[in-house]
Amino acid sequence: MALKIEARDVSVFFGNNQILHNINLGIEERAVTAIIGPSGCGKTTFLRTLNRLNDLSSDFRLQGDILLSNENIYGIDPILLRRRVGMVFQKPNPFPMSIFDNVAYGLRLQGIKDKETIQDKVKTALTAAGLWQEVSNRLNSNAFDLSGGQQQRLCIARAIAVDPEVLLMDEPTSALDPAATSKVEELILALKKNYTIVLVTHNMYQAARVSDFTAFFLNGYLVEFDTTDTIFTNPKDERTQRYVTGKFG
Amino acid sequence: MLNEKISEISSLLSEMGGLVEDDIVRCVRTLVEKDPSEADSVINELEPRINALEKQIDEECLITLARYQPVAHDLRRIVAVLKIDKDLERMGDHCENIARRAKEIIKEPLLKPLIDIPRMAETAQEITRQALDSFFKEDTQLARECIDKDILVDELQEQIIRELISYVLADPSTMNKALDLIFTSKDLERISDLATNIGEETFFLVEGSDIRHLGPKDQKE
Amino acid sequence: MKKRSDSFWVLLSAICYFSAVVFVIFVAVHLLRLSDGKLSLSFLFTNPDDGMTKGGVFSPLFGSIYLTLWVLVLSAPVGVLAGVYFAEFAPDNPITRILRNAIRTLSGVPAIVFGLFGLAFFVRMMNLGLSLLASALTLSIMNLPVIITTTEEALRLVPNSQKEAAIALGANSWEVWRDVSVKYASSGILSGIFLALSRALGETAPILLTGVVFYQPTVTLNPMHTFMAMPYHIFILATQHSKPTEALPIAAAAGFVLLILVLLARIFAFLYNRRVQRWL
Repeated sequence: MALKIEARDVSVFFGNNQILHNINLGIEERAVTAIIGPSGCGKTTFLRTLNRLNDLSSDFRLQGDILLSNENIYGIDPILLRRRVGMVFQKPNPFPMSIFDNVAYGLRLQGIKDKETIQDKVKTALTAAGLWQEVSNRLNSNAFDLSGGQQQRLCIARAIAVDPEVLLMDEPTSALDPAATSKVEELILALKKNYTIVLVTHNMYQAARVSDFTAFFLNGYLVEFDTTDTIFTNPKDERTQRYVTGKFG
Repeated sequence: MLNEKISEISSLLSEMGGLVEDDIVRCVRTLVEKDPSEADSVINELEPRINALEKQIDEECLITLARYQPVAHDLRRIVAVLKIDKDLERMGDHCENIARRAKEIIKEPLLKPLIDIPRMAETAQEITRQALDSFFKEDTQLARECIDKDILVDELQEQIIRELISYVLADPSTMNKALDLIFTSKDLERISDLATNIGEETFFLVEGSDIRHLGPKDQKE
Repeated sequence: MKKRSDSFWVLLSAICYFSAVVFVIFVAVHLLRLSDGKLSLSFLFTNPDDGMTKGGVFSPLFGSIYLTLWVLVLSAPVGVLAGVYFAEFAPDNPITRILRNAIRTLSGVPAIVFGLFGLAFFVRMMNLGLSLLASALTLSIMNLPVIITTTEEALRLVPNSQKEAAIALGANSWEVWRDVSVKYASSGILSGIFLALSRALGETAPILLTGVVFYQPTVTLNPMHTFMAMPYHIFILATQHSKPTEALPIAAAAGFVLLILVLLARIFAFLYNRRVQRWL
């Protein structure tokens, strides 16, 4: 096991508000690392720091270092960084285009023009996202015709089509029904063979079900980080204990 | 996810069950064949492996409960497994008792030729195998059969005790040897009793019903 | 209880909606009745004749459409770009806020004031004289606030989730703008432009002082020339003509044509909106 992402003493500020305090966290390669915690604990902010999406806010400020494969992410062109670190959002957000074009979008951004290459990669991504069988006969229909769960898997296919190393998932099932949720969870388990996955969720049962490691955030601090087995059977910190037993948050 | 975890636990349990069956055969074989190496393998090989498996299964069950929150049939299965592995571990302990005692017994000539103790062991082993089978196959009929066989073991034990008492009355100096054999039969009786508990867990798993501590009449209803 | 009050409001808004439709139909029918059978295809394509008591409305109709085209060309690019600036690039500071409020206030200024400004600035100062160009510039100034504001609002309605989706895939800001913002905002921007154009089409006061004329025998494409326009033509026929009984049917018919023209512009905007919205 090797560390894919390393946060060293990371603090995040928006204006004068400090959102994250001295986070030290190592994310294992080809594993699912879940970040749990109550609303406003900074888990999403941390996730969006990893692909520099927070940079879009003018009052965002970062202290400390974040390393991707031992390379400081602020030494990488953000456009290239985001191709290596894909993201899936809370609500399914396919583009108003056909299913095919959605998945092909990232490839075309990279300047890939060859039709066959694009077709191959779209098929591979849709297959990996478990969607190929459901949509192969209607690739040209509008992505909005898909159900919510299918849309989210389409967004996952769109993210993995460009072959990222890391997949950030920001509460990817919070807008889905239980059946669609379990499909996405199965997908996450299948994807960890090839990708490093960081999963933010406020459904701690989801973290329990699919993750290998769990980090518990509270009020901008990393309270505890351990294997998921340990966090859910024998957490060391009193606050983690109270959170996973549902006594607050 | 949950299904994979359950089949992982089931295969661990089945491995443990196999070891315990082996355990019963070997500890008695020490007596029958006067071979202390069988007892040594029970004490030094099987027993530590059984104990380790119990811990491992317990931990896996704990993690499964914590991470997947199983309900209904799945929940009953995990709870049943937690009890069964406890039973199997106790059975292993009784085997170890028998093995340690057997090593002493065989140092001197036997009080009498062994007939009923090997038969008891055979029956206890059969009950164990059937009980575990009934659990894995979720077959309540098979479970009922093995629970009913426990009476055979009880009868054999009574017979053994009666016979040995008559030896002691005739010659009080045989007291020690007789007691050793009585304790051995007691251990075997306990083993078979624990095995029927596994059969009861099959009912709990399949029907969700608790048939423990009911008389035969109540059980029929 | 809740259901009942709900249905009350639904009914009320339905009544308001249909009364507006009924009113438009009423005006159209009334104009048709007053036009006394003057309306025909040739009415559209013949010039006014015989002291404007005979003939059609070709020259004012042509003038209005030609003027609107000039307004489109002059105001839409500037207005849209300004709207884009306010929505995407303007820093959030007092100057921006003052500018934004100034623009919104401008859209409330009466049309005649724009007419006076056009007369003073374009006709006199810029030495454009009474001309179609001066009128078009005046109407453009009047339209800019509408186009800027609707463009800005349309861009603000572009879902952030869509922009972030593109950014997270490695799109640069130009690509985000091209692939997401334009797609989502174009219908809103276009309907804003058509709204402004239909207003320009019906406005009299600003052109009255800057280039429209009572009568002119020929049509010309020269923007430095004076021109005839529908609203002014109707105004003259209905109120200033020496033979009101003969002029009135023509005024009504012309009014009907103008009404249809404005409706067409609106319907076009609506249909375009729907075509885009089908994808959203």
